[in-house]
Amino acid sequence: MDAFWPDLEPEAARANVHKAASLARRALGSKDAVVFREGSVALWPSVDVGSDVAAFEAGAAAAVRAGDPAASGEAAARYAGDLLPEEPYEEWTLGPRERARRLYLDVLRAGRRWEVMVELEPTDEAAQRALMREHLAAGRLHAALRQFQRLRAVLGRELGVQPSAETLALYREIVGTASSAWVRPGLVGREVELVRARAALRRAREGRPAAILVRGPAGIGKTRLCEEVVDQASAEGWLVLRAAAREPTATVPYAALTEAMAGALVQFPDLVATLGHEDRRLLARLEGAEPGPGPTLMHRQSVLHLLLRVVAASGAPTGMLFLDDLQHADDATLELAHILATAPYPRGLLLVATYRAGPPPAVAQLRAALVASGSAVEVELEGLRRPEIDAIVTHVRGGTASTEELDVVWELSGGNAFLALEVASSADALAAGGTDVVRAAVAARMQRLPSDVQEALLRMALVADEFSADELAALAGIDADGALDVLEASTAAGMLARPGSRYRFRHDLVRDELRRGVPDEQVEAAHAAAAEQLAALAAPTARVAHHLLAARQPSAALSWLRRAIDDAFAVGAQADAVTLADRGLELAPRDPALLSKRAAALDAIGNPGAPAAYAAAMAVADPSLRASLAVRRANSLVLSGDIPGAMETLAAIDEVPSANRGQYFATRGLARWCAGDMRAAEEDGQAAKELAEASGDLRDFVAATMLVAMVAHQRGAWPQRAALDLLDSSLRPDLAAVVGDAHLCLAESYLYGGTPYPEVIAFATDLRERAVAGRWPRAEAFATTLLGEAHLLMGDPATATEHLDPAVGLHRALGLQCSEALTLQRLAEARLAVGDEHGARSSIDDAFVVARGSPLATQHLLDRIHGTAIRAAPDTEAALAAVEEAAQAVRGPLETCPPCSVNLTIPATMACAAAGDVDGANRHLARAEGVVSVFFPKGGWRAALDEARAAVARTSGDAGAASRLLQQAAEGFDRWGQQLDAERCRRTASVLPVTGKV
Amino acid sequence: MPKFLIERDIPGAGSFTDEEVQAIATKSNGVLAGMAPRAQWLHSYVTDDQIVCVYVADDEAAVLEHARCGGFPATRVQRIGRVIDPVTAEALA
Repeated sequence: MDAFWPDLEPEAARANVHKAASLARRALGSKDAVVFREGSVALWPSVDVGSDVAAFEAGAAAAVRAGDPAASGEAAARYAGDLLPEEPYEEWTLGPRERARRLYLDVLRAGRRWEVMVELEPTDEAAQRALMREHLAAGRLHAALRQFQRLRAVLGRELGVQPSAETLALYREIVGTASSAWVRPGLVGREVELVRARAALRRAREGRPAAILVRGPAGIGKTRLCEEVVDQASAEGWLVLRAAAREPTATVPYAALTEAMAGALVQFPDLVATLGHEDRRLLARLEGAEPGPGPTLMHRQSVLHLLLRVVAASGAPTGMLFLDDLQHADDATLELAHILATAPYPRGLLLVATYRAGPPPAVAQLRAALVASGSAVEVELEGLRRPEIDAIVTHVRGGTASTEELDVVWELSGGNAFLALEVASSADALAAGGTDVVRAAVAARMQRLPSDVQEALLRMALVADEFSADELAALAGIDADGALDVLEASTAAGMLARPGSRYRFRHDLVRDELRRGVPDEQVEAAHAAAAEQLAALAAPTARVAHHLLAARQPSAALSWLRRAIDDAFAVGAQADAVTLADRGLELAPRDPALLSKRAAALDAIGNPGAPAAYAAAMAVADPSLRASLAVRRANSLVLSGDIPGAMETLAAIDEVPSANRGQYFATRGLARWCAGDMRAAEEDGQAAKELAEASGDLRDFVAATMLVAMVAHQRGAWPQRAALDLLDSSLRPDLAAVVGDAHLCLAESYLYGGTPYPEVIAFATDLRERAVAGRWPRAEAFATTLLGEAHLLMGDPATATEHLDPAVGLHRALGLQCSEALTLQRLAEARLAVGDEHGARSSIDDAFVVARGSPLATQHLLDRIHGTAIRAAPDTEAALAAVEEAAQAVRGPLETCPPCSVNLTIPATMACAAAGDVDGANRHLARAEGVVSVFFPKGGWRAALDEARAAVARTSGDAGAASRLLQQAAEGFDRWGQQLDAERCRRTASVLPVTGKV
Repeated sequence: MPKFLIERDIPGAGSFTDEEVQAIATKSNGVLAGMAPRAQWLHSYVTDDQIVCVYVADDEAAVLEHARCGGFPATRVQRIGRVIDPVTAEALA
């Protein structure tokens, strides 16, 4: 009675039992059907009663015990579905239902009914693999590949993980067995281009950044040339990540990079096991799966971190990223590709890319920057020569070709390798002659296909560049088995190619030909249908938006664009968010949501247009959103140095929304600090800190704690403030964990702020002792690093290393990535100081890995680590490359903080000056001067600035000024106790001419 | 026919192997054979990141055509006005 009527009193429940028994007797036509006896209820006690569930369970258990597939199959057939499906949430049904279901799965497994099994349990990898093997054994290769795609999608969606190494190994076996009917043609001509590309391979192998950029029209042989380079690299053991960018996914965040990473994991199944759970979840998320609550990414460095983890896990001696059709790559992919191309392995990759003439601005910028850096081999492919085209024709025609055939192909192809192949391999095209070569060749291939296959291909040509079997079924409006037939016939006819488990038209020219002449209305209808189908398939929102835009459905497109912008933000692809917002604003120029999202995206990437974008958004926003935007605009203005503008914006806010109050106080406090009003800044800082402590927002808490610490530093009381915060036992554990991060910048200001180093050491030693005594491991780690830093700056790298080495472990054990990255960076400096360049570079690489794994560390450490990487460069060229790498990798408030930036701009100034780049040096020097004047009124950075000025003066030919500035710098370093730096300045000054020009 | 000085920016040119240099020369010869007699290659100087070539050609267009057909960059093409050498000093004296 408790099970049926748990909420009723016993008397009422008993009445219900009797009523139910009476109804049952009436329905069954006998008073013997339900009998009450000695406190229990019996069903037909006089006869042997059975049920379908009992029969199923008995049969199934026997079949499983016997291990008999046939009997198991029969037993499985007796399962009539879930027990009592109309009572899904009744507690008394749960146990029996689950027991029957589990038995059903067991009997399916024993009966090898894989198809049914994966339908019930789609994440069961063992069953999925068994089904894939079954398809493979039966020669159903496309079905096996489809099953792999389905498994991969469901694992990402349901669990947020990649397939296991065992599944990936099976996939490789399938791909190896399944031949795509299309055979890659041999490479003809291009000897010079190959030789040039090989020089880039050598350069990358030597540990220098390099790129190979191949430009040319469709069909000219760009991909084929690059494949030759890829083959050579693969043969030498390189890790090759490769992907092709596609038009429909041109605004899908990191689409090409994600494909490249996923491809590497498929190619090297063992890599999966070396990735952590979070890495795998992140990759699944990038692939478009929605695994529910997961890591919220704030910036692109997390994606770069993941990619480099894949690279590192490969253990390959060096690596390459091959991106085909770069003109279709999303902006976020281009940004990361640029960073990778400017960095040496293992934090960079040789970039090999193809693109067509007249690329979009982002590709043109990437190309110009790489060419200007001198690291890129740029190849522009022209048509092949007559003897080369003749060689293609002769090969395709089986070794012989008539003069007439050679003439026709040469004339029709115009030196285009693809066209030559098409004409030469198609008797119809040869016979047709004329100028419409592709049309004739495609028509000839299409004629060999059944009409339903032709229809499906035409439909796909309108809306897709690349697709899976299931996407083909959905987009072409055919059933799943029909899709397999289409794939079978189309790959055999050379219309489709299958580079991996997905399919694409054999060449863009083939797809373009199918599209040609289709009326606009038909194209738009196809896009509208595609958007609907892709939305149902949970395709990336930006892809759905792309089709809705092409379908000329502005209202629906806007809705999906807004969602796509949010998705781009969620994976740190703010560059894509800007592009998507711009697309939307073309349709609705005054859309408040689009304008505010665009402003936020520009702000996040440090675009100087962010304040103006916020102003544009404020102009159309409702009052509450307007106030929120005003706070963010003011913050953007403060970071850009426009303090009066920020104060004016803040003053105009009538009422601050509660969600923005923390940021409001932090922003106003920072502006007041910059304006020198310390009392007001402290008040704002305390208010912001209280709000952050209440809300638990880590980023707000760090910003507020920093502000209060900045005020304390100005008053010469930072050590007391730091000790109070680090030993504060009232903080929540998650906030206490980031206190050290909040003080990291200030500790650096303290170190360079003129306090004598013996005094710093005394403070750090005392703090450490108190931390150890009171069991404050975070404070102990913090103080240990500070001790190491002080000794380093004093010119004692050996003692510094004695502190820094164990500090790395202390921070790591506590999961304090920000401080760990800082300690590694300092360790690299200590190693440099004793001439251990190899050790220094190793610490730098470690520091990058740690810093990119944490948003806070990224904000405060990237400047420093890049600065040290510049100092650690073995020669001028490598130093300049490191400056360029930093220029691409450090951008916007998520990746830099104003005081920290001096760690980068000073070494960048020195590197540019040493290389004779006076303009570049002056650019970095101006930034350094701005930061030093605001944040470092006294101390070592002033002397460092003089040293940098001296380097610029020397390169400009003014030896007198250089000598004077070096002397000044040496005296400054002396004054602040930085002996090694002072000695370096004197050494440099001693080799300069006494006066006059250099 | 006039003489031309062609600067070809080729990163890593100084690291080309003998086989690679041979491949480049073979390609160049092949292209020139098809253009004969409009252009003739005299010799080239290879530095770390550049190959500087001296050609005799009908005109600059022929030089550029050779570059395009062969896949060679032609960063800068200049017509050579006159050639001087140490003996030039003797002649002037």
